[in-house]
Amino acid sequence: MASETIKFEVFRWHPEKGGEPTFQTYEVPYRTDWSLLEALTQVKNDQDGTLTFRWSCRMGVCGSCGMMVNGVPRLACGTQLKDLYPGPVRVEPLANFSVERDLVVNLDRFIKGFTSIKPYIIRKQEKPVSEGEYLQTPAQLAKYKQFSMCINCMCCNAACPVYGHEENFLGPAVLAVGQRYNLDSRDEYAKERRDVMFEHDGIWECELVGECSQVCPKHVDPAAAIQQAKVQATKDFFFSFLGAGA
Amino acid sequence: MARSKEPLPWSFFAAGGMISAYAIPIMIVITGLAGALGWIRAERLDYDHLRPLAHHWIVRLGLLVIFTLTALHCAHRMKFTLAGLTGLKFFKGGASVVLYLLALGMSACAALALWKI
Amino acid sequence: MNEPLKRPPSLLWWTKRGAYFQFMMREISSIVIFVYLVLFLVFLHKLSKGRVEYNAYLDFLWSRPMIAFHLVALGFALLHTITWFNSTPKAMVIWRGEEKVPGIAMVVPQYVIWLIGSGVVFWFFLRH
Repeated sequence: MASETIKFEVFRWHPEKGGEPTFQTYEVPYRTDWSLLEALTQVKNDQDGTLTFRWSCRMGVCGSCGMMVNGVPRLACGTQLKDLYPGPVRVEPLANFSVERDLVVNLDRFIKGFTSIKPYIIRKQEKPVSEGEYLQTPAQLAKYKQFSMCINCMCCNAACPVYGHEENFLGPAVLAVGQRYNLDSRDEYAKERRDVMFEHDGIWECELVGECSQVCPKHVDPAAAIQQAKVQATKDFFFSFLGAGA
Repeated sequence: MARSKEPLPWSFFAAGGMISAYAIPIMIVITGLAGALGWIRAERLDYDHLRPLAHHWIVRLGLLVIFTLTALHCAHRMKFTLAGLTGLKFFKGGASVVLYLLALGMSACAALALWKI
Repeated sequence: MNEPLKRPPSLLWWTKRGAYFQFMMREISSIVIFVYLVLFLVFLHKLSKGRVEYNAYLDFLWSRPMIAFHLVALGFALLHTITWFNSTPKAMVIWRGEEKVPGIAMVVPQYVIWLIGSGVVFWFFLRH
């Protein structure tokens, strides 16, 4: 076992060098209890200090280490070497994002979309702290809890072919978190947030490929959030003709 | 940017998707396979058997509803499919109106044919 | 220093993974079903034109190449039906207190109704 190794073909690109990206092969000791993140760490520590990748918590809660593993977006810390054996394993930066360096992608597009739906509780009238907390029953919490589990790892956006083809599409991550706030009983901003989500580049570019929900490491099910938002948008649309308003 | 008007075609897409999911498989079997392959006696689908059945106003209305909603469903989905297969955004733009009009045109022809049965 | 590297998707993106291929097949079902609708429209038109024209059309419709098309069309139609029923729980959420009604409770009844309904129609043509 000690002499067994597993090969990784890792995407390399540095902005100061430019040009076409290349793939560099690294051979890493095959440890059955290692994750891909630990393998990449071994590469960076012992083989090639120039390899660049994001990571932080090592346990699937920070969302930093998303990358393409044999063409599928995964968290490096959540991918076990024993599931990749015997390899070779192709490791690339998340699809549908431009590359800053090696496995690090530029997330400006996501941040812009995320900010546009105002991902925080907004009240028409803020309650002063002295009046106590906003109360919420377990049933009210249940309505949005699943959509609140997002760790912003971007695996869903990397899996979504529409996100790759339509550069203005908000994408599953933004739409799921938008729906999370729309369904939160404490939030009073739903109409304005829906005005952004229900634009053409919001929910309506989604074609229900469903891969976003398949790859999500936190089982957020953004596809469901978007389909439910489509139903909501349709109800709003027809009710607005009946004068009931959105 | 304002809220999209997409809910309108999407409602027809959703209704058509549902109705075609239930109706289209058996329609394909009856019109194209059952008689041809001998699963049912071919005479069951001959003119003298079929015309009285198809003449019922309920059958004609039902077929028209199935036809129209399915056609609109297909038009909506084809716009995305053709854009996805060719990489040409044009299918999601002006061409999509052509697809919806084609679906409506075919449905009008179906209504005319059903009226005359 | 270069701008971040853009990697636009390829035109054959949907051939690269099984999940994307299945999705594209589902989407293509809309084209196949649309072609069937054209054939069905002609069927209705010929039925309205009388015995001679209708019989001539049946000869064409039941020819070998058309049977082959109908078999393919049935495959795509079934793909549409199955993927449509299976995705119902995504769009429709029914809450019972803190629990969601499980998705299967919305999916299975649809299959049952579909199979019974199709069976009734088939039986009707078998018998009458």
